[in-house]
Amino acid sequence: MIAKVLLTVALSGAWLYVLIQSGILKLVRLALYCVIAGGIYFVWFPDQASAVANVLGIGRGADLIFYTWIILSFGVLINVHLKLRRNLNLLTQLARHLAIAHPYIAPISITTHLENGTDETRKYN
Amino acid sequence: METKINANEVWVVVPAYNECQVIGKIVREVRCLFPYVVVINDGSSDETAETAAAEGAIVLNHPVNLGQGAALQTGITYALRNGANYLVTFDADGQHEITDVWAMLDLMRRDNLDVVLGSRFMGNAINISVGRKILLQAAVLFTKLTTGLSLTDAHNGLRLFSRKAAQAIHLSQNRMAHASEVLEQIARCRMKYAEIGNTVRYTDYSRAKGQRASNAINIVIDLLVGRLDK
Repeated sequence: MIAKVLLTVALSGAWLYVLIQSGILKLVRLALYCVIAGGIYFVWFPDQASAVANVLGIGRGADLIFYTWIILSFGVLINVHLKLRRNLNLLTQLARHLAIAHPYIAPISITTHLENGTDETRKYN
Repeated sequence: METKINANEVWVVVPAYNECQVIGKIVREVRCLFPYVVVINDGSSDETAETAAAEGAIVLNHPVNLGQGAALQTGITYALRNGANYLVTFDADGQHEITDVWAMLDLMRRDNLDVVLGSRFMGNAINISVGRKILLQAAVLFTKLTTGLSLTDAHNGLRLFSRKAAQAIHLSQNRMAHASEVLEQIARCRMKYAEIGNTVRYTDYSRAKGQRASNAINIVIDLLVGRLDK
C-alpha cells in the first residue's frame, strides 16, 4: 500500500512537471499524459497491465511498461533535440548580428609622392 | 538591347573555417574578377580572418563555429544590405574556379533566371572518387523525391542568385543540410533556375576538409528535425 501511494505521488509529480513545461510538442505532451495516467492506473490495478499486454500481443504487463517507456524516452529525446535546436537558432541570430555589425576590413595604405620629393603614406580604414 | 552585368554588382560569399592555408589565394583570385568578396570566418582558430582581410576581403567573424549554412546566410544578409544585385556562393577550399561565374552570369541574364546552380557532372569533376560520385547521385535522387527538382548535381557549393532570389532564401539549417534546404526553397518559391557545368577539383586538401560520407545521415536527420520544428 505504501509503495502504491509513493508511486502515485511520484507520477502525479511527473504530471505536474509536464504541465508546467513550455515548448513541448503537443503530440509528446499528450503521450506523456497518457503514459502517466496509465501508470497510475496500473499501480492500483496491476493485473490489468497483463490483460492489456495480452490484448496488444506483448505477453507480460512488465514488458508493456518497458516498451512504452522506450517509446516515451524517444519522444522526450526528440523534444530535447528541438529545444537545443531553438537555442542554437538564437545563438546563430546573435552571432550573425555581431558579425554583420562589425565587419573587418583591412586598412588600406596609399602612398603619395609629394612635390618636395618626399612620400606621404596615409592609412584609410 | 542587352546590358552587361557589371562586376561591381556581384558579391561573392565565401564561408570559411580554418582555411588560412588557402583562403589568401582564393580571395586574390576572386578579387581579380569581382571586387566584393565577403569571407565569413566561422569561428576559426587559425589566421583565416587576417589572411582574407589582407587580400582585400570583407571579413565577418562568427564568434563561434556555427556551420556552413549559418555562415552563408550571414554573408548573404550582409551582401544584400550593402546593395548586391547578384550573389555567388563559393567554397573556401579551392575546389571551384571563379572564371565559371561569368558563364553563370551570362546564362542568368540571357534566360532571365533567379538562380543558376553549378553542376560538376555537366562540367568537370577532377579526381572525384567513385564513392563520392555514388553519394552525390543519391543526393540527386533524394532531391528529386523531396522537392521535385530535376538536377544533375544537388550539393554543389557554386551557386548564383539574383537579388530577388537571395532575398527569398532563408537558411535555417546551420550545417551541411543547408544545401538541400536551398533547393527546397527554390522549389517552394517556384524560382526560375538552371544548371550549368562547372569545374570541381578534388585535392588532398579539399578531401581532408570535405564531408565524410556518413555525414549524409546527419543531413537527413537535420532535415527531418527541421520539418518537425516548423
